[in-house]
Amino acid sequence: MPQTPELAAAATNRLSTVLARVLLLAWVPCLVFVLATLMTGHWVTLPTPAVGAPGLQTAIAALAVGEPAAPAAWTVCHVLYSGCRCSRRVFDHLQTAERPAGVREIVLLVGDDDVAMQNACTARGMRCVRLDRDQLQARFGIEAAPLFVVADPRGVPVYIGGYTDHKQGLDYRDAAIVDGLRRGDTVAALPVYGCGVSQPLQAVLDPLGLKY
Amino acid sequence: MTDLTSNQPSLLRRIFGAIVLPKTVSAFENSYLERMNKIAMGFFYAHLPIFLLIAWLNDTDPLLTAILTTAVLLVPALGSRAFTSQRTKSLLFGFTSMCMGGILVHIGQGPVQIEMHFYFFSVLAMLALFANPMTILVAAVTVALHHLVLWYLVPASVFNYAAPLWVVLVHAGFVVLETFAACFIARNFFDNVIGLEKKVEERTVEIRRRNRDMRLVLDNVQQGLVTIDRTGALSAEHSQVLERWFGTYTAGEKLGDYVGRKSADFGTWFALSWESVTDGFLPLEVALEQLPRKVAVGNQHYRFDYQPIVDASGTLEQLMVVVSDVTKDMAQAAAEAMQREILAVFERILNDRTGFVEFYEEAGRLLLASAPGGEANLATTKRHVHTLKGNASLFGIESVAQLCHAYEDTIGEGDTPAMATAYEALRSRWQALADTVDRMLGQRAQDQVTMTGSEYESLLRKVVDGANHAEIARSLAELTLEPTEIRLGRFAEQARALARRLEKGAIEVDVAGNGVRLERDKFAPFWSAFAHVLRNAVDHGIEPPEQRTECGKSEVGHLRLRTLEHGEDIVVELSDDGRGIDWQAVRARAEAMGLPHTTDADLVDALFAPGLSTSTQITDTSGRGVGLSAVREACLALGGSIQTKSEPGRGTVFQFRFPLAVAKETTVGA
Amino acid sequence: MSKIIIVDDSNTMRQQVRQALAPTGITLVEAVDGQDGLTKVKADPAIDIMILDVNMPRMNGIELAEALHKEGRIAKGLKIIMLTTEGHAELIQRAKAAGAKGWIVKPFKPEMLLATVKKVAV
Repeated sequence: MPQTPELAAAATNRLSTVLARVLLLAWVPCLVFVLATLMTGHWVTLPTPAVGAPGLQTAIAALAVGEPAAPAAWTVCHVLYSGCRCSRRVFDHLQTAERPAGVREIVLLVGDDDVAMQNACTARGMRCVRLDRDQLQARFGIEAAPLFVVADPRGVPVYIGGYTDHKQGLDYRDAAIVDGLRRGDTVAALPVYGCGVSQPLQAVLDPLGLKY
Repeated sequence: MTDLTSNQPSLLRRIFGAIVLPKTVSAFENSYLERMNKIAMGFFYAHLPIFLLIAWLNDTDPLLTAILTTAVLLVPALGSRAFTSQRTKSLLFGFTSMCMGGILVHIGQGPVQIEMHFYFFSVLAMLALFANPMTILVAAVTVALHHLVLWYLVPASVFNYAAPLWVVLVHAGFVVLETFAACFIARNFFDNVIGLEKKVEERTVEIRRRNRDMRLVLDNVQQGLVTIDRTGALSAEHSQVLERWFGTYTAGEKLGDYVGRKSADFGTWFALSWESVTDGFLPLEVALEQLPRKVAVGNQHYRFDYQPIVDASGTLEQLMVVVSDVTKDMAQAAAEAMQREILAVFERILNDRTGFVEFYEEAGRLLLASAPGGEANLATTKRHVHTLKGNASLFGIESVAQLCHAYEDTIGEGDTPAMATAYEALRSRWQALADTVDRMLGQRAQDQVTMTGSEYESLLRKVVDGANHAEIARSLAELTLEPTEIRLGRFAEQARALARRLEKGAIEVDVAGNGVRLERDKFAPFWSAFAHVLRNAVDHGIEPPEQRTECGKSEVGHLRLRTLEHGEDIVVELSDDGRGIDWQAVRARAEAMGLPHTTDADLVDALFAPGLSTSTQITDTSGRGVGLSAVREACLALGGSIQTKSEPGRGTVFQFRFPLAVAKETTVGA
Repeated sequence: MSKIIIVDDSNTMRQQVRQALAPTGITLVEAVDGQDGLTKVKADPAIDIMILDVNMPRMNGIELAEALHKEGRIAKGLKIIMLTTEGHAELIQRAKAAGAKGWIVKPFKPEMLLATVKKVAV
């Protein structure tokens, strides 16, 4: 059947139109899904271990082994995840804010080998313990970062939670929390916003693996 | 009570109606959206470098940002291929904008993440520029969809939400609020700016529809409607029926020419009177009154009515012409006129059967004799018709009188085809009348004998007194003759009617038969012609009342009709007290016609000559110079003579004398 | 102030015109035929409107109009309104050629003549 170029062009045109529509029909739901997953990190508060979790207390106690500080000192533990923007902001805060006196500060750093971060911690008088996310979950029962943990001089964790009142807030409450606890106040745990660290949590939060 | 709101659409329907635009896209809307879509495309393409910059500055994965932004940009890019409608293309920007917002909030995380949310609200407002509430709705739905998917992805049982439900509701509340406002703005923007052209179109459609309705009216009324402008030219809009009546219609043709194709008289007359309408000499309403109103095309009759359309200053702008087919009305009017005439005839028959029968039979004869192409010469024909006209008029049969008048006109001109037409009209009218009259008359009872009371008494006395047989036989034989009393009475009545018609006021007519009886058949032609003399006396003799008063006469004109035996003669006399004969005028006319005019006898002869009339005006009644010659002819045929006495200002006497022997030869011979 | 002459041999018609124009209060001269009309118009230069019948003895309306036209009376402002019967287009054309300004078909309603005179009169 002979076809004029115009007819052929029209047919091609029709085909491309149909194709574009089909693509669009598939593309739009994908985007909805993708962007919804992006939102999750900012919307949901992340899980924390319970205050009386036995694994956590043991692990924190283990951290104190070989420490020169007085046995009666409070332990402040920052759980940071190098691939996580929220953790980095907490890290920046630790670098600039005045640190409470008379406490033992430890940074639990998960993620890529970041020598710069490690050195900076040491320079601020903080011990930096590097470990992978499986160790963090296995030993500490911690799955999300950034997480703020405070243990009393006996080594019992009394605070496990976030740093700020609001998600991505500017007002870091870590020093105030420590002060309150040392005065003997009861301090409610702040919500944790940030990144999943353990593999199962990341699978839920970022099923497409876009962020982690 | 009926529900007043039942006609109003439900709230839901109204909201739907406000969100969904009318289907048709005007050319203006299309070109506007085309431009807006281009601008929006550029706007969102510009997001890519800006987002990359933010991601780089904020250390939030520029690569992922580039991928995501490109993925979102693919939506409008695909859309421009997938759809041809600019409106549909623009809908995709509702989706695109919200996705961009999502990316921005993600890459802008940190201390300013809250501020990044402003993007949603500003873009939502900007979407109103597409003048389509649906675009905004698409954006709102996109946001809602994201949240739904999020909730689906992250079941509440797994996490404890720090942002409780009320926070979500507050956010949603603001979005809904802005969506409402933006939709409202978009719709108003559409209605009052973008859709304006469409509104104009809708109006145009509405006007067209009305025009169509008008057309329907124009074509379905049994009247032809059309307007003409100041030049008399026809407008394009016209009733279809006009074409059926007057042929192919051409807008711009002059009405006079258009109808003139079917009736030249109308055309000429219209053109002439239209000049009066436009030259402005006469007042408009007077000039319009002069326009022709009737036209006959074949057997159809049409009436034209005119309605002027004037501007503020009263100048004629257009003229509405309403044409009606009045054929039926005319036929009905003619039938009614005929009915009236027949009633008049019926009355005549009741009152004076003999007189009417005589008229009727003579009229039939005259009509036959006056046929065109017959044996009679034109002058004789003319005389016959004239006599018929006068008699028909006297008997109240005006339609026949008018047709006679029209026929006479054609005889004067010697125009044979016109004559034939006019004769045929007269003949058919007469025939129509005759059909009815024949039924009314039934058996002709001509051979009955009538006698008056006094005649009966005198005869009875003769018998009682024992008069001789010859005497009684003579009296009885005389009864078969016609008493003149009755005939004179009939003339008197006709004279009075004629005087009223000619506005001569009431006249007095004295009648005296004096027992004279004459042979009916023999004298019939004379009496028929005598009617002319009578009409002359009333028309030309008796003056109008005011003129009589000026001359010192009584206001009421006076006629005397009598018959008497005088010596060896029977005399028939008619006298009036009118203005008398203008002998000067008679002399002048006689001279002009080459007749003798020296002696008084010459003048009397001239008076009765055919074709002489002193009247300068021909009327229905008299003036054609036919009447008196006819009466002389009839008189001479009976061996009679005429004597005329006339005094200017005093009156005229006509005497017709017949030898007694001739008048009563039947009885004398018996 | 206008002065009108009615030229018509019919007394009835003259009377009708007289009655129709009575409300105007304009002086009305009557003439019984064309000859009479010509004499009266010549004698009275104040006459500026003529209501003129067509068919008349001695001198008809057309002849009168033509005579007045020749005299230059029409050029001096005499306005002629013809009274005619329908169907005599050629007579009207002749009258117009002679300078008659308007024409009214008989029979007419009195108010028509009145309206015309009111418009034409000064």
